[in-house]
Amino acid sequence: MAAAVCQGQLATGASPTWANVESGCKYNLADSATSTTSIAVPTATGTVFSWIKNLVLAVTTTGTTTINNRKISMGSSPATGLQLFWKQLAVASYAQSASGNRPASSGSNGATPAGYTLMTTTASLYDNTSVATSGSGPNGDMAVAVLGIDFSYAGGPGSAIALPNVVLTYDEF
Amino acid sequence: MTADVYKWRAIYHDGTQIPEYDESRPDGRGFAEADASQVATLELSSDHKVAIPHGATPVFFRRRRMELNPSNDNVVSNTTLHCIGWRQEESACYLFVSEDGSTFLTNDLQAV
Repeated sequence: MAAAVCQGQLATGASPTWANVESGCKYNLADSATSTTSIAVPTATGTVFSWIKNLVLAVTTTGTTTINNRKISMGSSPATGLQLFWKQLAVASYAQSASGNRPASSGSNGATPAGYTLMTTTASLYDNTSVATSGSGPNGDMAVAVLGIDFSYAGGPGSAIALPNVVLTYDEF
Repeated sequence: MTADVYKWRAIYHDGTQIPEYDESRPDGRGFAEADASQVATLELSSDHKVAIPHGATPVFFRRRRMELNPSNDNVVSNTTLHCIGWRQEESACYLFVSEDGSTFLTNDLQAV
């Protein structure tokens, strides 16, 4: 079985453009994996969110296999006041990350944005569709992720806020 | 991606062996190319074997795990679990084998 080579990628731009994010993806206020446009930590009870990150499992070297059972989780728990969320979205429904589709801020700490699911250290299924690896590019749906920061976050602002790794798992056969 | 530690081999009831790789298929076979109804035993590189009950559906897959780091300066880890087993109506048996050879036997496909 010629196994495929896969990569975690982020979609940006209008088209979109897919790029490797295995070595870094910042949760910011930009349509970018590297921008340090910062998210203002709430100064009173409430939660603010990053711009969306359109993550996908992508085939970079094709194979003769098939992939399903795509799951997402965190490698460890984040600091108090930080939470990651995800939602499944078909690639065909891609929307460029922008201020207009940033989840609305909440007046409560620990708020979950509408349509999203809290990411935990337990893997959650986001797409179980069987898709052949004979084609390169996205394999299956996207997992759109956002970061939430609430008033209980005690760390300072800046681009160096530590976040847990995002873990993608999938079955290849 | 580095080569997978284990390769699968299906052994039919009549003794015919269908390996993932051989001279006729150096590119490797997809597991779906094995005739599921004929599989009596599944092997992972002769190190691990599961007998397939009559009428059961043989199962093979590799469960891959990759980490996306939010920082720019850390190495991302990628690991693979191999699974061989079978399912039949409400029954199932899955043997997960990690890259270091340790094993986990379960009837829950999502246990690991």
